[in-house]
Amino acid sequence: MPLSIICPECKNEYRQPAERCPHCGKPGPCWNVIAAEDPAERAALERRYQAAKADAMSRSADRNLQDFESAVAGSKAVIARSEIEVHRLASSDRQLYATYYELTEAGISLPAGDEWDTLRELADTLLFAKSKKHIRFGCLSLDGIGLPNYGPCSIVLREEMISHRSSVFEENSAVFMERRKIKISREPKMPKGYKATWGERGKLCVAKLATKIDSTTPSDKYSEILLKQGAISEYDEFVEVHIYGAMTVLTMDQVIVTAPRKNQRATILKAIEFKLAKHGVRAS
Amino acid sequence: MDALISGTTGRALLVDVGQLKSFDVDDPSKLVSRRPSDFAYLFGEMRDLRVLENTDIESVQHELKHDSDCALALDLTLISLDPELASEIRKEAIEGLDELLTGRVVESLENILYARPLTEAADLAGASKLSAHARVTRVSALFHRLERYQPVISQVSAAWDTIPTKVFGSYDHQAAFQRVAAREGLFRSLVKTRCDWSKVFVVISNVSRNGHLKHLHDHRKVLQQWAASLIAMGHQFGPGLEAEEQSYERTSRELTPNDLPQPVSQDAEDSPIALPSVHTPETMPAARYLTDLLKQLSPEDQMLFDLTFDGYDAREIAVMLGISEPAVRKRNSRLMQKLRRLVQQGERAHA
Repeated sequence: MPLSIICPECKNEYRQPAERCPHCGKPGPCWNVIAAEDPAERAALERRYQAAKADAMSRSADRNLQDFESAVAGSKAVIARSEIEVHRLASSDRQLYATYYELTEAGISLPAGDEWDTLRELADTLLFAKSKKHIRFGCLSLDGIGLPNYGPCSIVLREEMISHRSSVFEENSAVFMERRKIKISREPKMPKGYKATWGERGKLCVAKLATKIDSTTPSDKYSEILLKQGAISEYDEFVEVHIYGAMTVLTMDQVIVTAPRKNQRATILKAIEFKLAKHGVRAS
Repeated sequence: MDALISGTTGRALLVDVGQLKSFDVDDPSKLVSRRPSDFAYLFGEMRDLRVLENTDIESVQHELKHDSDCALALDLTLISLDPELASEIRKEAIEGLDELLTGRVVESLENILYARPLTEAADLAGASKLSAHARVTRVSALFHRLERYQPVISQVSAAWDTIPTKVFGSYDHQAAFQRVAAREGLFRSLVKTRCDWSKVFVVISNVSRNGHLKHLHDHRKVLQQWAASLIAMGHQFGPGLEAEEQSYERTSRELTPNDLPQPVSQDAEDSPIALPSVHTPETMPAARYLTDLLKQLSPEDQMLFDLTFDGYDAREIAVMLGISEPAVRKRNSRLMQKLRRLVQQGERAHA
């Protein structure tokens, strides 16, 4: 993650987490996207991608892998949240979807306070530096269903609202840091080739998941290859989506509720769906 | 075992010798092992977390069911009041709400609804009409009470807003105090006094018996300021409100005793401290009026007043002062007479 960039307009340098050039005032970049566009990152990803394709060819799985790549290149960014949170967001387009840091700083939510919490914060600092407070997390999904460990409502985001400010990452970034024993230092040795721009998410999925595709893999298995819920959130397997900046109900395309519709809860869900529909958000 | 419960998420987290397990209100028999990092995802924004200490699983199930029913009832109430929603959804919400309105749920729901006046956007008239159409008497009675109490709710709420933040210590403390005061029914109790000075005093003096409220930062100062502001506003709502409400309740069908309006509290009715109902002289702010009144008491009487104000009952005061319980009652009675006399003297001087 670059800590500073040269403003493309005035050619002066400015630092994270500025969202505009402080010198000329021109709108700035999304820092996570800049990091994913780094030539060294892209080159490393390309090497992983080509190696995965070559391996698939040697197993006669290249056609299926191509099919898988086409599917995941159209995957959606999904955030799973509680009914209450969706209800709040659906109530008005002035309601913002907050990040973990915004919630804890505002005193609305409490940090978990365990070693996982520390790991999460360290991973965010390594990946996003001073921009971590602006990053919203989601996952890639083919069927629009996210990770129920985070809530029974899967919010599918509108691609046109997030593609320019989103990047994707190999897996749960906190788990990634721990598994690879990434050490804190002035210049942390982050392996390259594990993040991609939104437009290149298909490549990252191929690089990561090609070994799970063989010559007999049916296309209806792609969804669970891309995303698999674990017994607890730590064991979830998914491609993480990092979205820079604010989101509202107008960022949503669809909400899929996986919770059972029983008794009075069914009425509450009907009311949420009614409100979502007023903002043009489909619900099912 | 300790437990955390949240009605809005319908989940409980059991903490037993370092082991974490959760269950959902719909399936309490299914226990799922958890780790601390799951905490945030189990409870969402955690606005309604409640801690149960030294408890057992049956109690946790019972409390979770109650909190979940309360959260559902609040959601359904808000849906039924929402004019933006389709009438069918609002009617369905009203019917669902009626099924949930049993004694404790009614009280908990009113604790929240009476904490702030309804916003202009809330369509109480429409909701009342829909509930009458649906023939759901419990909801009709709830809406009737809510409508009738709106002026008092506004006044209690406005009095709360006059308390300076510095009295609470910080904005965070202020917000926390308000949350607990609403949840524990303090707003509701004050609303039910209809701003009657003597009843306000009794409600406030009973607060110290509430374990949740008495641990809040500077609770005594906050409550004194609140009571003073409420009285200083000067408008006392007559008993007609309650009489009308009870008459309405009697004519409603299928009501249970729990649906009837509760008195301020049993303690309020029986308390030896029942000051005469007076309007504060307009020329003197209520807080100063009260302070000046108490200054005229002897140190012993002031101590007795303080102990009673702090929520100690006659038996407890007797132990603290090393006198008998009847003696405490007798002194309390004398104290009341003195206060009554002082108030009457004040009124005469003001006239």
